[in-house]
Amino acid sequence: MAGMTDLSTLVLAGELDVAVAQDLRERLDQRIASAPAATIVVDLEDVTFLDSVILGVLVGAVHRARDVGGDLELVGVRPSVRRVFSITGVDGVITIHD
Amino acid sequence: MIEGGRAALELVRQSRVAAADCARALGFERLVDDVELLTTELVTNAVLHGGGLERFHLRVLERGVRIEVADRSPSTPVVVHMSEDAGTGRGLVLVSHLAERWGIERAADGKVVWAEITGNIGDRPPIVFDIEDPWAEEQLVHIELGEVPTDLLVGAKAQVDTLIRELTLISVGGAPLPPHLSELIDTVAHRFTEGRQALKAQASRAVHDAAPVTKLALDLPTSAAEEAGEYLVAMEELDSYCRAKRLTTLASPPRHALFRRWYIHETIAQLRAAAEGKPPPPLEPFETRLLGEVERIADVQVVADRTARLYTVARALAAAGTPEAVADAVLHEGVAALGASAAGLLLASHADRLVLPGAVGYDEEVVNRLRTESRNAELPAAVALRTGEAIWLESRHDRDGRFPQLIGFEPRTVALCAVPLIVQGRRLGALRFSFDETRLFDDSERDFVLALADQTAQALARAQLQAERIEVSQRLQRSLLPPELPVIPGLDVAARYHPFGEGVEVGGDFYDLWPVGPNRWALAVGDATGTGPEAAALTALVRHSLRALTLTEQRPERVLASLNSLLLASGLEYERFCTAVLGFVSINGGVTIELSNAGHPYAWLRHPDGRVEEIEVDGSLLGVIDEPEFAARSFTLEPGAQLVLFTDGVVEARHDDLFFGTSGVSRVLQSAPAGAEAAAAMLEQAVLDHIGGAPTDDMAIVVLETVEEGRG
Repeated sequence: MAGMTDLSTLVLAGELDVAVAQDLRERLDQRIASAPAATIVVDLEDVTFLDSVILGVLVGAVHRARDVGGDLELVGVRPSVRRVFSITGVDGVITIHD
Repeated sequence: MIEGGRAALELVRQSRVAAADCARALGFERLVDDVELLTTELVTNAVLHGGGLERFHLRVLERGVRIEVADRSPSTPVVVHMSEDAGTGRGLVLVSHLAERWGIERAADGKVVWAEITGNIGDRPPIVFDIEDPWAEEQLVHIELGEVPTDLLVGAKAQVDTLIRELTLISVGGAPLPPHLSELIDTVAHRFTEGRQALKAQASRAVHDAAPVTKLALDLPTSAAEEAGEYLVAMEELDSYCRAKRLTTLASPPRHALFRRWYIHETIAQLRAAAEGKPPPPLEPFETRLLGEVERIADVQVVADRTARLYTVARALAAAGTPEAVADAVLHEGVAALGASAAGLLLASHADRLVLPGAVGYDEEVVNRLRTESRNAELPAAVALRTGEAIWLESRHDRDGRFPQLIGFEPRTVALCAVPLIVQGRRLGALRFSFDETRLFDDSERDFVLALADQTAQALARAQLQAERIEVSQRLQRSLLPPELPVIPGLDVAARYHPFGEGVEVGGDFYDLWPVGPNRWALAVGDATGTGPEAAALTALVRHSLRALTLTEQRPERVLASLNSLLLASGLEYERFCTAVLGFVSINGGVTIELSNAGHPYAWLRHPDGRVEEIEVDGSLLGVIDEPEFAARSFTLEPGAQLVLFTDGVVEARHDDLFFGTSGVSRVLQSAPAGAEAAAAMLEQAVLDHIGGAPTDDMAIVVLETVEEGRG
């Protein structure tokens, strides 16, 4: 059970901005490609900052995952980060677990 | 492009950290999160879309801070109300939401985007500030583009933004793009931004107002025309790069590409007219352009359809052996492909008059006129034939002006084309198509008709060659058979010959009947190996040798032995064997037959009472072995009896696996009527019926019937 959780969970940490956007996009695409129908859980527990470029990457990944029968969901979103999702309306697109 | 790559991206983090530190130091702890986010968005925007970060300032306000980011691009960012699931366009939504006030000011080499933040932040809708016009001193041209579906505008904008962002990230992320591509991305990101930003703002407003269509208008300096052109070219190149690299989600879908070409072409046309002091050219509305595109696609389909028809015609023509078959193959398909009302094929001949091997769709009167068209007539086909030039008459005016004779000739026809049929410089004739309506022959139609004419000419040349070959073969074949059979008192004689392959090739079968003395004749039916010139030469040798040998030799088996020696000594270099039945016929009160056989199917005897029998006489093939053996047999042919000789084309005639065989011969002869001619005809017909198609071998039949004294 734990092993399976590890496989589908992507743990991110620190400040996420344009500098890591390309890297993140590639890692998400690899996950989607290796298990197309799976739900990828992105753990943002240790993410202290996130900007609109990263939002774009996440929204793009959600679309690509859903296109192949999977999905992408967020957990551990702290309030300061959560606010970015709500201002832009992206919380209506991506499932965010409290 | 991002100047400095990863170092530039690091600037984003450094600016964010510096701004947060300052805010804390100033005692605005509660603003730190917002300052971080605002700084990040503004600096990122400068790095990704502003041509690079020029300067970053944090100024202290009474109850907050002011963030100023200077970049190197004069183009203005716009807050966009894009759909929530778009991949880009959120940065300024955040800015307009978080900042109490924000705006853009023009700087010397770019612009400064600023945002002020205090504690008084409520939940406010985004505000779009009036943006300072970077070309305030320049004369602006007002361009109306008309209405465009809002969805399309939004989709096209998102597509371009995604393309720029993805390619930028790919290049910043370490995968180097080809240098030329970097320039293209740079052009797309930083050229013609004013026009695109204006479109973006109008689309955004339409989305906000939930308007299904957006009325587009641009105010641009005339200098923007050049930039617009560069932008379009760069986008087209990037699109083809994406398609080539299979980055298919990044390449513009056809509707976006069409929209882009349309609005940029219109914009350029209007800007250029203004620059030259001319009134604006009439606008082609986007809807019209779309409909034009539908027409264009339909045209492409027509061309594809014509290509398919050319292929069909080519296949039909390959099997056409006569001018009539050529006309049949080409005229129907041509009429259908062109939507013509009628068509005709006219050929040159040795006479003054043209020949009409085929016509479709014309009234009988017109057909009769075409049949009598003179080579020297001032009519389209004749002129095309004489000059070797295609004639295109597109309207009644055209027709009457150039061919007044057509008015009475072909009253219903309005437009007409006539193309010469030329093969290796030889003008064989002309193909003509008539139309009931005015017709503009566009390039693709002209190409189609010319291609049709080319194929037709080739097929006609082939048919002509074939006809010549058949004529030569038939002439040669006739020379190998007796022109007519001799009249023999007391005998009724008939012969049938059926060449293989429609007479294209000379067959090796032969028969002959000739006098060799008083009341004595010789009879031969044979089959030389092969077909064509070699068989013809061998047949001639055998026939003439037999005629010579029978003058001095009275026994059929000895004649055959001598012929065998002659063939072996002939020095012919190809296979030269032959089968034959040789008989001597003596009329002396009754009819006596002496018969020898060299490997040939047996002769048959039909008695007057209907009984039939094979005359079994055996012997070696001719021209194969040095010491052949030939038997001989002598018998009388009673009155009313028939002697029937034939070649293997009769017994070996087959349908599927079923041979006509000796059983077929036996069955037919038992019911054969009296009279040599009737019996020969019946046997021939029975064989052809058995095959049910074209014979696969030559066939010769000779019948002798004894008639009573006083007849024959």
